[in-house]
Amino acid sequence: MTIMAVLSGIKVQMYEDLKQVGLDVVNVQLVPNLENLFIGPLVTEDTQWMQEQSKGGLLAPFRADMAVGANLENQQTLEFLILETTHEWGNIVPLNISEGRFIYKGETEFCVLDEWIADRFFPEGNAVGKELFINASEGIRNLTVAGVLKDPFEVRKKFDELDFAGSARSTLNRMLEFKSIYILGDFSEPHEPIHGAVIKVPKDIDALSTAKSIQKEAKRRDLPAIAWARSQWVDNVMRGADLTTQVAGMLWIVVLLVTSVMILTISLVAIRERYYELAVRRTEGARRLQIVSQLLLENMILSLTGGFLAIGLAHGAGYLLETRYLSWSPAFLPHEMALAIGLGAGLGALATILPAYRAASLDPVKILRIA
Amino acid sequence: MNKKTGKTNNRILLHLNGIRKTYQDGILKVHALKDINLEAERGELISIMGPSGSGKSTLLHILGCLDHPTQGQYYFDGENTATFDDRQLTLTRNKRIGFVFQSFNLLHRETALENVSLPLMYAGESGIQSKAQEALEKVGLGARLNHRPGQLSGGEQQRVAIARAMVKKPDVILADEPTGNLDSQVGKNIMRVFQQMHEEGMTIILITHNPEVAQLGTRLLKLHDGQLEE
Repeated sequence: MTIMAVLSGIKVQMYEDLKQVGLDVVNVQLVPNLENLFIGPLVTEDTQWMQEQSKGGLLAPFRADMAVGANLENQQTLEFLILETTHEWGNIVPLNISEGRFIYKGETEFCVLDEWIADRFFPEGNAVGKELFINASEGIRNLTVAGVLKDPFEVRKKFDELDFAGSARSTLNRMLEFKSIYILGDFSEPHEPIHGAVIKVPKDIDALSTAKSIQKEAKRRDLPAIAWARSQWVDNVMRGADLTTQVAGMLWIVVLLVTSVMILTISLVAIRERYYELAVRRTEGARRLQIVSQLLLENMILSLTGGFLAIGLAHGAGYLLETRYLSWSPAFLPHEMALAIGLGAGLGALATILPAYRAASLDPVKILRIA
Repeated sequence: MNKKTGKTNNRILLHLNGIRKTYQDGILKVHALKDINLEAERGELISIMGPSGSGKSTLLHILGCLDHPTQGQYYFDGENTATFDDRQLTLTRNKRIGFVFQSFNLLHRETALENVSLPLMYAGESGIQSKAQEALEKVGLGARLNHRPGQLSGGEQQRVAIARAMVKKPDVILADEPTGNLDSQVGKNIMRVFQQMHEEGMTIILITHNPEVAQLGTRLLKLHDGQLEE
């Protein structure tokens, strides 16, 4: 039950998290394949046609590069993704700013840090206004922190604590895991070398159809582009989560079946142990139906008590997991709990009826003679 | 008795007519009872004596509607028990027959009061607790109502079993070696209880192999190799 609640909880939290990446945003990556999604070779391309395909959407081109940064005050150095873009990025991608602000137009000496980076460079907090040295392919730059972006992915916060600088994660993961520094780049010329662009589609335009039309136009232009709507990506992730939950549900059913066989065996043994008592009851005038009803009632009370106890324990385990290991609340859905209790009681009843009927049909004389 | 209808006069409570009981033990046939004829009048205390394996318990189980004869008719208050279905047999056991066994057959997890309440509960009667308490007081266990069998002596447990048998005011009490597991003094006390019930008009069938106990009966029958002798 706890596992199901944890999985249901992660789905609820994931959807809440994913919604924050912007469901009306389209990503265009000018790369020949998905392996080099962010730091593949730069492509000199005009972004005008992308904007036209989005029917007047807001666009921000970007270039990505791996960089090493240092905070000279505490000698902390880190490797991360540096993302050059325009100030419009802040108007396109929903930003969850925990400190300061995004970079304004023309602020080429400023940067914005993802929370993960800010926590490591400035563990005491108050990163805004502080300086960093960045060594990227363009050389060493001295940047002032304008703001810090909160990681929207609550689901992985506790897991993140296990991570450390220099771990062998892919560049794509680094980007998706919000371990980046944002700076303003020069995109003043119509044809600039870029890795891609993000586009916020107008309110009345569907992001998915915009992504498709950009993809189609890129093909016509013979460009190695991949365009995807973030809503589509969210749907795919949620479908994957649904599949995981369904697989877990099937495993749960298998566990339930195994448990029911165990309950049946225990029930058989438990009722067999009571043959003497049942024989005395039969001698004293209990009818078969009364014996079966008594055993059923006893088992129902046990099953329901066990069910409610299990829910209590599952809540306790969920609370422990949440406070120690998880960044999301396990979701104990009422219909799942009702199903668990109902199935428990149903299986208890099924496992009781046959042995109870058998016990009620035995000859009390034979039982009492053996006893 | 009218042989066509099986109806007896009102004085005869139990009537066994040519009862035989045969058990199949592998390829062997065991004749536990052979052509038993018996009439028990209301208010009688009949002692049935016999050695082990003579068929005493089998006879008692047939009299108690716990077992069926292989052959012959058993009339309970004029009704042929062979025509009874399971429900009628259960009802007869519950309301009209009281059992007292050698090994007491009490429920160990229940108190004396709960054990005595058992037949009343299955009969769906009202005032169960007061009736059960009254029965226990009658056998001298008024101070032990809430004791479990494990907390009572053998004699006290047998008194609880007697209280359970008489609480429903049955037509007959069938006692199978009621003093068999008790020492002689306690056994005498138990027999006094039976005598008292008999004096109050209760029909009692007492099975024993103890001649001293058997002497208490108004009629003494001997069972030998499945055959009954006066």
